[in-house]
Amino acid sequence: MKFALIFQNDTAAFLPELFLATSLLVVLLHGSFLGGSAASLYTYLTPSIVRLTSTILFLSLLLVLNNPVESQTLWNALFVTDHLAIWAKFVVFLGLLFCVSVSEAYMFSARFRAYEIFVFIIGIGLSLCLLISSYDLLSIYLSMEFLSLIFYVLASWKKNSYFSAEAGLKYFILGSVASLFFLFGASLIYFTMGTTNLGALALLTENLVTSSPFLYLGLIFVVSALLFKLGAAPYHMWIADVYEGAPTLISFIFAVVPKFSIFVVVSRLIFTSFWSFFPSLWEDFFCICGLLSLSIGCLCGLGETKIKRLLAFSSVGHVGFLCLGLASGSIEGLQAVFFYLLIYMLTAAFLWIYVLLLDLDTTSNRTLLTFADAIGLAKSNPLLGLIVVLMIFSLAGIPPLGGFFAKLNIFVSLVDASFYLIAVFTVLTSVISAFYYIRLIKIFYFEKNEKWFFFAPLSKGSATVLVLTALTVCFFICSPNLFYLLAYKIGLGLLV
Amino acid sequence: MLLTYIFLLLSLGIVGLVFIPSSQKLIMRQFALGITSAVFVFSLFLWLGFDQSTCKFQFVVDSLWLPLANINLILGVDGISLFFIILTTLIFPLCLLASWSFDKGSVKSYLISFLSMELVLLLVFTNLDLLFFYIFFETVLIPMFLVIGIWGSRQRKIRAAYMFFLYTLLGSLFMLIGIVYIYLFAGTTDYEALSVIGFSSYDQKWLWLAFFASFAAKVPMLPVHIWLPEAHVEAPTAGSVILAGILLKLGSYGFLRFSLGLLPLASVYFTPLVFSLSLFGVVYTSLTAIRQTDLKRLIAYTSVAHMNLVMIGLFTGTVIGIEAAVLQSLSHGFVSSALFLIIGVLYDRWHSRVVKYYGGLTHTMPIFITIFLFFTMANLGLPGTSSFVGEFLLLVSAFEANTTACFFAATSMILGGGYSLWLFNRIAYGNVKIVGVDLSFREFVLFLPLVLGTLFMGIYPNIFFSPMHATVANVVWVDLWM
Repeated sequence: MKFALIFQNDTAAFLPELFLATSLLVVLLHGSFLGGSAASLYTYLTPSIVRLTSTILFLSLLLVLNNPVESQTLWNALFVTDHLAIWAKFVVFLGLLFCVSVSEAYMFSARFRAYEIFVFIIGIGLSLCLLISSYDLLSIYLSMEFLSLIFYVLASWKKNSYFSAEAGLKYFILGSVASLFFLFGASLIYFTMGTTNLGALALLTENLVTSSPFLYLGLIFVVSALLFKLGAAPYHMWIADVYEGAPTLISFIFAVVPKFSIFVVVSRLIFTSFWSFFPSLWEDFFCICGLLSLSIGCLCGLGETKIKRLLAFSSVGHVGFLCLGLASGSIEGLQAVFFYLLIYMLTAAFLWIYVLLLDLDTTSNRTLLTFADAIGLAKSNPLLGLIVVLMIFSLAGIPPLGGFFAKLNIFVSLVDASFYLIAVFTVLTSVISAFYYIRLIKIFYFEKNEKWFFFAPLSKGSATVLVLTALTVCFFICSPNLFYLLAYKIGLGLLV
Repeated sequence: MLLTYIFLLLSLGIVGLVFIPSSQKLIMRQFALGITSAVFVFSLFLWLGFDQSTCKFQFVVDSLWLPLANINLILGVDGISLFFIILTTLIFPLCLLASWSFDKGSVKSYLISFLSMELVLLLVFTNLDLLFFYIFFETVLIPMFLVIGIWGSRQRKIRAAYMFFLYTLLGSLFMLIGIVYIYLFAGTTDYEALSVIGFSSYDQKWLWLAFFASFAAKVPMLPVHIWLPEAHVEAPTAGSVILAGILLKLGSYGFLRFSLGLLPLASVYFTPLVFSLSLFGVVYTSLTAIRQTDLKRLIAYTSVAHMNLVMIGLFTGTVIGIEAAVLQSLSHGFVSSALFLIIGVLYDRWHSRVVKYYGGLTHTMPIFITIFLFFTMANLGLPGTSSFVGEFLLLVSAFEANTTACFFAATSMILGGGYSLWLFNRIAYGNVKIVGVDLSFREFVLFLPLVLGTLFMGIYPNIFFSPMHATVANVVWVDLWM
């Protein structure tokens, strides 16, 4: 790194992160001085902070897209900036903007007066940006810990709910164990190779003839820790309880925002640094993870009666698909994974906002949403009902919706790598998981409801997000070029 | 351009329906009926403008979809798909007319589901791109699932909707793997390109099995046929008509277009399998039909029997066989739809489908019973009706292929007589168990095109055969010469 160029190069490339860090402090100060004291008459801060946070996220999105430096490593090769990083940050900010748009109405009904949640949201944005740009095992670890700490706190936000406390504690304990494994694996890799920099590791493992078992072990630990954060099987145990127990807005963040970034980190590890291990390690590893995740996603989802747990297990299944896409080892597989993540993020955002809408009405003492809460949808809001049905079909992978094309790409990469039996198994699990998706539709539409249900009208923020995501996924077939080209650009932009 | 106009008109219809206020039920129904009738008239122009001398695709519409992956949306008509298109556009106005007084749930959603189903079905039949064929083939599941599940008559509809959805989804996902393999091997999914690129014999066998999984569930062939009686019984009248009249034809159309057209070696190899399953299907379902106590279930089982007979004809590998199979599909489309509409007439009046409660109807509903008699005779294959032409020629071609197969297939005519005549006797003649109002003008108009179509096909089938000659000869040439 040329020290003379710090302000010209590295800082310029890190403008979004610096902006987020500064704005985090600004919002924290703003909130603490303006809301918490009797002198300010305990001002209701949420509307102003929502708008402030959305502006901050939008501006950082603009900063990210207008990156002035070309693809290179920064800060003494700790961080990197390339097309993958730019678009992944875009996706992260998009997800956070979705969350902030819907948060105002939710905070009002759920009586959350704390403004710190928005400080945490900006913190999530900052940590994910750092995670996406990380190019060294240490910086990955640090960013991941930053992210995880925020997530642990957010999961246990609801102070009057046992489930929230349980969720936070489970996530904290299990997440810490995962981080321990990451650190242990990283130290094993350092022990074998002598460096933790991903670029240096790529050069060192390029023409590897013999490799030590320590390296394999270290890699398995590192990637397992990352897959834990995603919720892939066999590290999926925490997902159902945490998604269910955390307040719905927070589960929405958990489900939608970090997946893309952690997949970026995983693909940097397996495609950039340890590419030569593909036939020996990564193929089998990701195939096993993928198959296990698919099975667990489809079988466990069958027994669920609560909506949030069902969405949690369905996300396990989708992560299974993504792992299989990575297992194929081709650039098409990587592009398929990014494409799938884009579509999945939009569909999951829609469905979680719908669950948020349901949650707003359970002002009763029941704390958890079951299927029965959703019965009156067809009568009370027919258009929303129809779109929810279409989005559920998209999750199940039925044409002509966006989710089908995502699965099609994964199938193309699987068959391209000649994984025929795995493709057949994937088909079988798709059909089994299709059952619990159409069971949801049955509950919304086919059942007669004896009681009257009342759904709160949608707030402007959530309506905007719902409409945008629904239009993108449902009318995907009319113009697929944008998503395909974006996925190709991101896949090719991985700095090798 | 004609195809573009048809699709534009249908899309305009759907959009227009969205904007009509939900309270104006009559206007919505009239609007939908007008749109579908206009589409029918347009599709007749397809027939008029059809060039019978060539097997190439006509009225082709070619538009870019994803150039970087070499997948584009190509629509076209040839001898095989022409009549399926006309059948589709004819059946839909009749369905809408039949559900004129159907007021359960939201009329607007009902009409929009039907119009979108028509759009998707027309797209299936005209598509020349393998991936888009698959996409629209699967898309039909969504509105049909909703129609069976929301507007079905009793609680068992949920089970029927699940079975319909999951059986067809499982088969089709196997076909998806086959399509992905073809795309990766050939670099394109364009049908015309694929028919020139051959596949090796080994590849063809696996691909044939993948496609078989999907089309067999749709036809439906024997082990995976059980969704059909359930779905037909539980769907509303118009839904059953669409299922029987058109969705079943998707299976045989798929077999003809893709299994026989693209994978001829494997089709010849697997012919014994198809013959055995179809023969079991014909005999078993005909016998089961005799035992049924529910009107719709009986006709549903006869649908299975007829479609399995069509399968025998398709895999004989002769021009007569394939043409007869297409004609029998068409005829089944007319006759089966009419029978379900007849049951719909009974159901509208008395809300029961149990055969035991009906008897002696000829005393009070003579016109209705005349039409019922006509279609019963058509169901068993009376000469003069279209299904005689179809069945006879199917038996001729089966005799050419395998005399034992022909022997067992011929029992279908005998057993057909068994179930049709017995059903008709119980309902029409005998002591008067139930007294009813005869057909209204709307219901009469409903049956008129079907009666005329069946007679027309039965008395002068050459008009229907001539457009098919070129295309079918092309398929058989590929079959015989490979």
